Amino acid sequence: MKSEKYLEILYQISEIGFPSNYFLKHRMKYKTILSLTISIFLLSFNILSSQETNKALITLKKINEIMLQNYFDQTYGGIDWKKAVKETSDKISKEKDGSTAYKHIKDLLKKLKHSHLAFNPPAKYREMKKEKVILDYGSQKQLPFDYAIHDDKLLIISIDKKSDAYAQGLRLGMSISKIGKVNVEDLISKRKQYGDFMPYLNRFPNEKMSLQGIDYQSNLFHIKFNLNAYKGQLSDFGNIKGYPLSFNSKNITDDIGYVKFNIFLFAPVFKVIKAIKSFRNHKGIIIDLRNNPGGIGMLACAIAKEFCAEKYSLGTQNTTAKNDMSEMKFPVLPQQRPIKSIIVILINRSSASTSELMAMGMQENKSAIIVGEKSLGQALPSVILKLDDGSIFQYPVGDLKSFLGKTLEGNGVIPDYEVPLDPKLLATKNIDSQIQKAITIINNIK
Amino acid sequence: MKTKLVSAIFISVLIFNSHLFGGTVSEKAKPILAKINIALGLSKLKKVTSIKLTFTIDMPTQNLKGNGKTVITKNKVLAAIALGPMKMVSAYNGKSAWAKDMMMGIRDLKGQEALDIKIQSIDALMNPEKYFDSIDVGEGKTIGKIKCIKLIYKKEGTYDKVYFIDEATNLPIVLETKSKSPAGDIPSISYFKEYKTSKNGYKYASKVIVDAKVVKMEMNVTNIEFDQKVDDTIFEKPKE
Repeated sequence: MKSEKYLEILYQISEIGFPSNYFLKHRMKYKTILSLTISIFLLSFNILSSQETNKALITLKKINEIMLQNYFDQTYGGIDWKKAVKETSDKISKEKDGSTAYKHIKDLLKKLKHSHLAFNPPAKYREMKKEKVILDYGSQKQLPFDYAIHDDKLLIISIDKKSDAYAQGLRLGMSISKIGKVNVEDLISKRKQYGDFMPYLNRFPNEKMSLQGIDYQSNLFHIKFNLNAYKGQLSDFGNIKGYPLSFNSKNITDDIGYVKFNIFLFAPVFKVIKAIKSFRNHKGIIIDLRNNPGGIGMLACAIAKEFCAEKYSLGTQNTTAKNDMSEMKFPVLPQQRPIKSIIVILINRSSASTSELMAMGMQENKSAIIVGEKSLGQALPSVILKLDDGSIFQYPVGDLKSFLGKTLEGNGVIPDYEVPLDPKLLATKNIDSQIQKAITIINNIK
Repeated sequence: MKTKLVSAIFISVLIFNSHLFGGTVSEKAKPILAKINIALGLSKLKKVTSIKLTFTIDMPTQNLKGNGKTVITKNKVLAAIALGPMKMVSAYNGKSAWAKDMMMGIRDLKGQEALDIKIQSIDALMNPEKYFDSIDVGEGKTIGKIKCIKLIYKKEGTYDKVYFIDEATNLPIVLETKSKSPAGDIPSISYFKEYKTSKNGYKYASKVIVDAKVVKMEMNVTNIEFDQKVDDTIFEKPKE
């Protein structure tokens, strides 16, 4: 049978589902057509699977090339990298399913146990598995509250009083232990790449969100509420797609400005700098980096420079990679009119990466006082690449040392004043103890 | 990370039309430079008062696109690029060089950073000996299938600029150097491709591919104009 005719028959089947007069006319039995169709389908499925497996192998090869040339730690955390790549390649070769094949690449990278090392397979596999995607945030929900990790739960530290969540009884000082069917404790222990839960929370699959936990008096709560579509600004920069931006600046007292933003991307940092400049004559400025997962490293320099009268560096990126970039600095250069206010930076267990770079760099250079809780300790400068098959690959290009030579990865930033959050104060007096401490520090400095 | 890299390689990349520099030119280098002069049609620039060049920038692996422009006069230079919200400007006003970007603010350029912007002026193109200490010939090599002559441009306190000249066409096809910036020194290789001849006979590379290891970018010239009126204030350092 000529292939065109066969395609025509397949088309007929797809249109009507059962043998039509067409088949009778050609004296072909329905069974024959069906078996041919199935066999062709299976054949093409095998071809597709094989193609996908090959794509995964090509991607593995590319990643291996990058890792050999540019990975900051040429000891690969002590593992036998070449052997691990060979094993992964063998596993992929045996796979028939592209999705599983790509999973082996993820598993390989996990062995290195470094932050900022991530792999997202091509988009179709991400959608198939509905997994959290760190670099493409997709459709968003408007999260009606802000939170901080507290006793392995998420403590509500601010809430939109116009939201359905508030109407249903969610309040400041409540601690969330379960989101839908997911235990927050598991979520906290499993997080590897970022200290930020927002992508997870904002991509909550349903219109309704279900939260369980305890209030400050240890009473259990179980609240369900409607989520609205995200109405704020989304930011794209390079391979980071659709990140929901949040920014808040206000006068917290007559003489103290407050600014909070959720990622170091250009759009919010533009606003931060503008806000900081508007606080120029204030006695103090609080920069809230709690829950801020980082972003573009040089944007920490962009903010820090506004307070700079004498050149310094927030930190240094070192590498043993073969790409010749043995040392790169994060320079903070003096400005014509540096702001002389007292700077307090708030951090917590979800402040990571660029947030840590900025906090530690300014702390060591006596440019800022750090208040809050020890930061996450995930601070490796990295690049994010889109590979030929559409995979996204992020890898560290250097180890980050602070101005005074401390390693941030695994250690984090120790605040000058360690202040835990107090659920009771939040619930009963609407007081955020970390912000309160920052205000006290500024007021006490003559 | 990538912004820092872009920032650092940016200036060296923009000198892609300033292929020819000078200084103490060795006897070996003199005839080669003369041939390059002819190949590029540099004599056509003698009466030119300004050149305005616009180009696109593509960093495919970083998923970034942007555009840029350089405006040069006899002794002044402005180079600007925009990659999405990231904007960077460098300039030389005939006396001093400066740069402005969000990350480092407004600053004076010194040393190699200043040199890399200065050498884009028409004066630098026509009188290169003012800007380099020496130009010498190195050991040639074959790049791809193209036999190349190696020219080394030296200036004390700066990294060498090593050009590879196509023996057949006498056009520069590769530049190996290192850029300097407050963030650090970054090695880069620039490939000059698809030479075009402008209306007045000046030849320029319409495509430049830069490989700075982690960052790779491609620039394509979209327009080149000569003798446009230029407002000199664009070269002056902004106050804030």
